[in-house]
Amino acid sequence: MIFLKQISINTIEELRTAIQTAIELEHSTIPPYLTANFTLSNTGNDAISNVISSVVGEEMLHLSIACNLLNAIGGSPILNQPEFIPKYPGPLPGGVDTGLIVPLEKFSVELVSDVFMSIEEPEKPIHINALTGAEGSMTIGQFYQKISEKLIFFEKEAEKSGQTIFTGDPDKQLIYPKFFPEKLLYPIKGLDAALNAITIIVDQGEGTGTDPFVNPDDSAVEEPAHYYRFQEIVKGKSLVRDSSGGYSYSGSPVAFDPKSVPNMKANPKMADFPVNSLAYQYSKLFNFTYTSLLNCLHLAFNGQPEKMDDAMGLMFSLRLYAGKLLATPYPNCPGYVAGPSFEFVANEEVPKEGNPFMEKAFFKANSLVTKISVSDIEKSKDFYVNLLGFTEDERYRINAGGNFGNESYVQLNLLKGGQNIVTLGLYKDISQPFAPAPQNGTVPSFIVEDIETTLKIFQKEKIKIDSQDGQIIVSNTSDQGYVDRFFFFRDPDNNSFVIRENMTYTN
Amino acid sequence: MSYLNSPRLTFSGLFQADPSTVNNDPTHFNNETFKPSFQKMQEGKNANGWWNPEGTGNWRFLNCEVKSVTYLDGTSTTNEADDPVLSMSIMDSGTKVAGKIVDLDTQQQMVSALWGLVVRLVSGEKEILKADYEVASFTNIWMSRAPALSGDTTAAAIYQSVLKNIHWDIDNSDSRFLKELYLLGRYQLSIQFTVDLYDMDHTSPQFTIGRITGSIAPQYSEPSFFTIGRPLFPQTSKVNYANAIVDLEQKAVVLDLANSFPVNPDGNLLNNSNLSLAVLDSSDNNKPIEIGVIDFQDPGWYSVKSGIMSFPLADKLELVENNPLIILDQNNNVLLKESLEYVCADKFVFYLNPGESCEVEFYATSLGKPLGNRTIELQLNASQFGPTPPQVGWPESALSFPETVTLDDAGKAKVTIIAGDPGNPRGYIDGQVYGIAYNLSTDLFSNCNPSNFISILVFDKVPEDKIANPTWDDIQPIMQQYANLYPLMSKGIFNLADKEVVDANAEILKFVFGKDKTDPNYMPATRDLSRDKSAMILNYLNSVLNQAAPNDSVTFKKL
Repeated sequence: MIFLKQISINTIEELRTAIQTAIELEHSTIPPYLTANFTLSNTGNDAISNVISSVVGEEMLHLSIACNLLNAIGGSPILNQPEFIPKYPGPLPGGVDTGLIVPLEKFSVELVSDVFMSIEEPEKPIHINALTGAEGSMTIGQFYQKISEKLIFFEKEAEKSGQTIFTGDPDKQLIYPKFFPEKLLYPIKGLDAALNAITIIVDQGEGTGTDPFVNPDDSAVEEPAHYYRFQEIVKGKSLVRDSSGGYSYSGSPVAFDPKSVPNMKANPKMADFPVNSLAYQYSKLFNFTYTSLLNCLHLAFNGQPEKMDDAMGLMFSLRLYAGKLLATPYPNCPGYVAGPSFEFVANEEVPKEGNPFMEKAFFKANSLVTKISVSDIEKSKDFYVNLLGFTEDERYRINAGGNFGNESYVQLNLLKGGQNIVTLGLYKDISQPFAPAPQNGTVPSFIVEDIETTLKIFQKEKIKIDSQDGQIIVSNTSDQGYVDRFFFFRDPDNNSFVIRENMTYTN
Repeated sequence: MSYLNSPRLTFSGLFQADPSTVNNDPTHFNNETFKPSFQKMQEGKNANGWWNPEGTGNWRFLNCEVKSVTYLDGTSTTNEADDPVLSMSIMDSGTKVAGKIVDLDTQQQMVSALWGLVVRLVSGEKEILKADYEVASFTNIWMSRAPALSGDTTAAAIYQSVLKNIHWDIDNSDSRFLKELYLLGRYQLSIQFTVDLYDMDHTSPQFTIGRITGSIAPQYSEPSFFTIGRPLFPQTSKVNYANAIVDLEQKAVVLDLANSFPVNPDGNLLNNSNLSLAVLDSSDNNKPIEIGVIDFQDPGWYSVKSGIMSFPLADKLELVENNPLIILDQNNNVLLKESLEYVCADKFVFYLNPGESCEVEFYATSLGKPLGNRTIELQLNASQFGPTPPQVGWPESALSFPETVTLDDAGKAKVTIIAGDPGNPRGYIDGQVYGIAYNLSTDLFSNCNPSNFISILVFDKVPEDKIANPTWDDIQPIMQQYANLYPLMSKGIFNLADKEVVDANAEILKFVFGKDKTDPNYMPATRDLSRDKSAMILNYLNSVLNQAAPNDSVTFKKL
């Protein structure tokens, strides 16, 4: 359950501040829900995705209602500032610091049960009372309850002098009947409309306390409140009314098939991606689109309601960029893909990054040729060609003095399926093998699929292989639990190479 | 007045063009033979869905900064301390989706247009100006710009258009440039830019990104999509068309070479030897008289000055007004030479439905002055279109226009082109593409700039009763084609080939199919849906909505 910091509302200005917090709070649930939902796209998990989508749609509704409410009492919603977006992972806006930490991560049943359901958990009076007293906190339900009470209080006070707190410009009230039924999103012009609007938010989120289904007055279709809707995912079945009058999770299946869900690295940040990577490009475009969406919503709720049309387009555009991110490997993190980070990108951040074109222009390598110092070109060539399977690219040959003397050069390719994958350039610039054999310095690694087989062949061919305390194959484990195994070998001049079998995950 | 006049600003940086490429192959429009592999990235020799099957269609400015300003009096600066506009950026919209890059047709991909683009000049979070870019197609595409590269990365092209619906916020600005720009360009600005070095390697971090440099200046008393001036024609295969104006206020030639010389993959000129701008003196055996040195040694000639150079004329003004310009290399080889008589259509790309017509405006000039009382010849010419099959440019009867038109005293002429019903000559592709070549009757089209050419897509007609009462079977083939050709949309958002999906999302689909074509949210992003089929789809969606319960719950929950 989410606990918000206790707030005091003694003035109409403080009431406006509280409603601005409500707007931020309603918004803050959307990035984590959407992120999880994006990872379900085209994975055969439509039933779960539909549940999350329906909650996201209602969070958008709640945000819209809260904006109408703030406009109604003469405030101005702010959505176009960097601070509007909470930090993920982190507490939700207005939340106590020790409370629930909300991440941006791929869908999992645990994410729903541990985080999403906690966000939407209804108040359970008995143990809530104990907790609120202890921590100076309140639930979301209590938070809206307080806003309702203060609306009543200030309006009654205003009425005494023949005035009203509902002084906002009615033209700023947003309705959008194309998508939000008018009984749910309507102009708030007085106290009754305001209180009813808050009831809709709380009822859709938490239920009424006596019925897990949303009161039909507060919904377009019969559906459980968010908490119980998420529970459907955890239980694997939709919630239905029993013939006995009770409820059970025994309806249509809401099963999870994790097979195709992209392995998104949790809580990505644009700054974590190398600037010169596709992940960075897509992350920036996603975030720019998201920032544009917030800018657009800000206009829509500040006197230009027609901008909602543009906002719809941006929401779809966001999905497309999320899809691109989730299909892009996370740089330097094998096994993971990038994902949406929902960060504010200020105008000036878009252009002020220098011009990566120049970077590209100066260094956009197509392949790598590694120069190897050798003392005897022909002997080395024999080693690389006959033992390791390289072929010479004779176009590059320099036969100094006709006998492969000093400064001679032979370029060798290692082909796989007709494609060149490794190029070495043997260059005679030493007169005898390195002695003693160097123990550090640059060491190219050949990645193989089966290190044991390679080792057997090398041993049979009597290739010089390093060992440490009698051990030939050694291994490293990365911080994330990936293991790779490798051994060192030498060419005739004691140049060092590695044979490596890549990354298995052992955790 | 247009982008070559002063006051003007230049900008440079990067752009992104992210077209979907499944529709680059005309045969992919055939639903009967479409294969799932056509939605995949090309692999080796297997073209599949070409190089960007999951393109969004988006086109946007990236990292574009203002680099120089030239004031009304002709003086220039690049120093931020002189003018705050030099610290500002050129961006597209920050409150709606990106503009779209759109081919006219799968068989005419050489006039790709920008739709729904917003252009902004921003200072931090402040929008100094925001305007709508009038839909414009690129022209003067040059496939030998970066000869060391391959594919579309070798190409450069220019876009020229106007900015309208301009919102200004310069009250608190102390920029001399912005005050001058507002004074002369308050209602309309000219914008022109050159794009090149486009990256089509999907493994590159710069994938779908290229280089851009351009200019913005007041626009009035000029065509929208080209500048009347002193057109320079290439005299060798190594260079490309250029344009120049004689600015009588400044008594100077202003020359634009941004799209005229080949570059290395790093963006620098293949040959940065200085050249010479000269005028041929007809009173002295056409002897070249140098006007000035084209300073290619200046590293900022492209990225800072956008390839635009100004040459004071002093006592040579009259000479230049009456004689053609040439560009010479250091060995006095002629690289570019002014075309003495020139005709160009302003807007040159059109969509027509049966019964509709369009008007093409021609401007003819000689040495920058109106060339009146001459005749323009027009003829159908589909030679620039393809790949085929299906066959392009027929039946010829679907298009009617005069074979000749006479230019008035001001060197202007208008031609009306009327479309009939092509009658579905291409089968699986709607309508037909037509090209109209034009030239002065004293010239041949083959001597003209081949980009001075009119491209028209004429859509098929759909019977009235089908439009009025469509069934799913009527719209299914159209929807199937979109689902096939735009996998990002069909996999990422809506599978339009699925009746259940279409019906369940009828409200949002009606919303996007019903948008104005210039709105960046308009669907289909490819803008290749005919009036009749669009009406048919909207009528279908309306019938679904009329049958459904009010407030179809799926709509706002499909976010």
